[in-house]
Amino acid sequence: MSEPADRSDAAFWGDADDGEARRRYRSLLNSLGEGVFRLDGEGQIAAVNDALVELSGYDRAELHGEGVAALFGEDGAAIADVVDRGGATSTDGGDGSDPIRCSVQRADGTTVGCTVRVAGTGGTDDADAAATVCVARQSADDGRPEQAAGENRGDADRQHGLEGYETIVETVSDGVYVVDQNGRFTTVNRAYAEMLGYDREELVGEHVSLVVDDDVDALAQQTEAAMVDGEMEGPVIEADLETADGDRVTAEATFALLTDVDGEMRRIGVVRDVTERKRALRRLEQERDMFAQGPVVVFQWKNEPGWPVERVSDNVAAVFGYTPEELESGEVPYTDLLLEEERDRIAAEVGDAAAGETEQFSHEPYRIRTSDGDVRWVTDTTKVVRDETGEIVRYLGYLVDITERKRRERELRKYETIVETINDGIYVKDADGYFTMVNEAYAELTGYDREQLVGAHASLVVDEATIDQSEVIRSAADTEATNPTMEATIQTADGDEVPAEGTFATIPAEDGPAKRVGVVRDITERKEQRRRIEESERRYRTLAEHFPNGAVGVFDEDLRFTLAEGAVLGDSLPSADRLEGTRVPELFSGETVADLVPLFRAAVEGGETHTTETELAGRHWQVWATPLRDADGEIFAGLSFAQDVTEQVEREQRLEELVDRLEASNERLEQFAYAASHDLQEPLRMVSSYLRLIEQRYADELDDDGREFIDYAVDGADRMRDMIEGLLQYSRVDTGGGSFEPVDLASVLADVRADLQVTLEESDAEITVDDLPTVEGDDGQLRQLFQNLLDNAVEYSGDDRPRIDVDAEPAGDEWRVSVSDDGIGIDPEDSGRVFEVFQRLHAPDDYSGTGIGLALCERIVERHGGDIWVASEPGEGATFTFTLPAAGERDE
Amino acid sequence: MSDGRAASGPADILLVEDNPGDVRLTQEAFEEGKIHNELHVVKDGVAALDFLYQRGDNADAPRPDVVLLDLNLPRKNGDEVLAAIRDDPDLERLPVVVLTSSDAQEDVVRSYELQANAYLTKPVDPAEFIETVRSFQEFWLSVVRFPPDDCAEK
Repeated sequence: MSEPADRSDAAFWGDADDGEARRRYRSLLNSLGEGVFRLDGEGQIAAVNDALVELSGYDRAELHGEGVAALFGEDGAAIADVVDRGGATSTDGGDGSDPIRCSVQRADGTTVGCTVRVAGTGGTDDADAAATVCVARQSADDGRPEQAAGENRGDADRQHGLEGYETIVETVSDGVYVVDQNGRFTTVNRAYAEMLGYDREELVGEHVSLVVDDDVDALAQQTEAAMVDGEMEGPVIEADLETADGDRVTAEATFALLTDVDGEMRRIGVVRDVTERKRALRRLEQERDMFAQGPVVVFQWKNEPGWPVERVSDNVAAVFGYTPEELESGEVPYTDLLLEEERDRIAAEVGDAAAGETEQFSHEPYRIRTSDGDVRWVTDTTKVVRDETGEIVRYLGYLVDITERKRRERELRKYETIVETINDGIYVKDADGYFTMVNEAYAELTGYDREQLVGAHASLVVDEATIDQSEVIRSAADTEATNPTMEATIQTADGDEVPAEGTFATIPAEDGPAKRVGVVRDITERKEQRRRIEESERRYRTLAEHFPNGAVGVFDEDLRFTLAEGAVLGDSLPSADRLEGTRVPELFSGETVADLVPLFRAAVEGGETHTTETELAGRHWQVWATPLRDADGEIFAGLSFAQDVTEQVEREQRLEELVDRLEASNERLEQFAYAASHDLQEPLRMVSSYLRLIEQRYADELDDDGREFIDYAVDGADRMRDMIEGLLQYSRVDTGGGSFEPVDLASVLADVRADLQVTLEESDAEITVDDLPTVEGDDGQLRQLFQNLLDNAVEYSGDDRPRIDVDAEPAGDEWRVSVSDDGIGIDPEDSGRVFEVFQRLHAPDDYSGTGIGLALCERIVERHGGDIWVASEPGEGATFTFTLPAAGERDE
Repeated sequence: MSDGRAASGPADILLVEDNPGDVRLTQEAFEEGKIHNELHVVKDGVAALDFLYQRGDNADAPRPDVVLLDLNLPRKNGDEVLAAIRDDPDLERLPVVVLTSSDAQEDVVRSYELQANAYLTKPVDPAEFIETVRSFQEFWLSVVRFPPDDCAEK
């Protein structure tokens, strides 16, 4: 466009007359891709071409007579301004005005950005009215200035002047050419020539193959044929053209056919250089690829509830699992992708940003849920897009999936937490042995602050030998995949020594030599515990080893001995080797097993402790079994004790036999005593009876001596009868007694006093009786007891009036009853003898006792489980005391 | 029952006693007490039953009005004799007085278990014994003996 339009260009269609030329122009105008409209002198639209009709969406009729505002709204003012100024020349000196950027207000309310050039105002040829041709070109891309359209001054179209069309053809930036049937250029416009780098003259007459490949020409001819057949209208083909320099220009061409006045068919081609557009498209594609293959997912959300996705980059699927189509369809609102618990926060953050003037803000990482239900972490930097009024129309979000980073962070935090909360001391040293990190536990263990330790050499807390040894252990751990430990002593800040156990590892460093990690545990307590356990075990083992006359065993649930200790192992019991590892049923004979198995099972399964006796190898054993429980009370084994009780058993058996024999003997003796005394009565009765018969019948015939002899004989027989009766009673105390029942001693004593009434009155005895209890006993025998004692007291009262005192006092489960007199008393030396049968302390002449009474008392008291004794001094009286069991229900 | 026994003649008493001393004492007592009776003495249990069943030499023996029975007897003990009497429908109503040498509880209990009608402790003092026999006679021979047989058999 360096060359101003030549006026001779008016003969663009030089070989045609005006009418023909106008027709051709009209046809060409309508083939143009650019919108062309003509304004009359009033500034009203007088004509529009097809392209503009299509672009604006209005009918021709709707536009005719309207001002430019009808097409361009407010932008129309700028165009009108240029038109008014008479079509200012362009700043670059080219044809027409500078391009005016404006928007076409389409019939459907949308707008289309375009540039308008005002090509020319009323020409000199038409003084009547001024007319202006304007060319509107849709912007290929926002803000991309349009190639300046060519300028041509033409006639006012009102007169349908040919010049107007010529102006247009020369003004448009599209290349226009006409070829004849032979494929030779007959006409080219300036734009076409420039596009290809030729002069017009160079092209006219040339065959199209000069600029296109044969196949392109063939395609053009095919298209032409199709058009003739009416199969195709206004086809667009894309092809590469070769410039004069040999470069290639990508062009888009539309065709129209004309039939010349001489009937010759011509092809008009309108060619647009789309090299730039192609490049731009390619660039866009590349940019899109850069996004799509990158980690950033770009969202474009409408500022509407739920933030519907307007656009999203293709790589969204890799993060969200949804395809761009699914999201852009609006089926899944963006808020639904957010994890439920994140929604409020994100909404709040967006709300805060919207309220301010912010152009861009970043969310704290939040979680989204993928189409698979997985949760992912994203960062989101959102750009706010506002319209002219400042209203937010949409948001652009740049999201990055940081799930993996989050996971690592969590992992790291986890390890950090572990390291800081673990009770074991952990440190990291560099290759030279200086601490680079210690945890709190290690600081506590050593007694230093963390700050003191970091940077300090390990020799601060351990000696060189320990450091050396730890290196050996560490390299072993690195190579052998084992985790050996070592024990060492740590010197604390206070100068104390702490026993510790360490494990070591090496961690490779990103730069420089590998670092050493140590995990150190305070084992003071463990050592102490171990010592205590050892001590305890030694103690128990000693106990078990010396278990007297027996053995101790531990057995498992299978009744298998796991441990056996004891003095008699290997002697009267199998050896420990034989016992350990062997089950009870395999160790002993059937009967022993039958005795032991239930006992052991009860211990290990039922948690019960029992004992049993069994025989083994000819000896008697007392065996106990008890459960062994762990700290939680769970039974984990059973414990058995076996003690050789053979001697005890034998002794018991001997004792039992002895008791049996003694009882039998005693019974025989009693029987004998009874029988003897019983049978002795018969002959004695004969003696007594006949002595009395003699006395009665022959007393008169006897002299004094005879009568005296008879008296002695009768007296002896009487005493013998008393003794025999006493013996009878004595022998019958155990076998002849009644059963025990509560006996009221007060009433017993009252009965006895009644029985002894004569004796007591004769002796004028004074008896005082305390409150007497109820005891458990044989009523008849207790009566006998009191009778004998009272008798005795009266008998041995001496010369004075007998004074007898009876009282009782409780003594545990018993009552202690005393019968005291103030009689002649008994020499303490004789106090034992008084209870023996027939032991008399006095001559029959002085006292008439049979020697049975107190012995009988003793037997009666003994039968009641009590004792009887006498306390006395000669002349001081005597106190007989005996104990009797209290009655079962004692009210006191 | 024999016809003669219904008369008020001397009572027939059977004394079963092996001890001659006691037999003599009893005889003396009956004599001293002027008791009108006929005392028949046998010395063992077998002889006692022979007498009661009028066996052997005892074909003419009277049915006694009362039996004085010592328990310790040769050949057949007093217990067995008493049991035999109580088992025999003809004899079961025969009054039997058991003589014991002691008043020990078991002797007394034993007598009544054997369904004796009474027991007597053999006294040491003859005078006492005579007194006992007399009271015994008054009771047994005047009261017990006299109920008519038909009356007893009702």
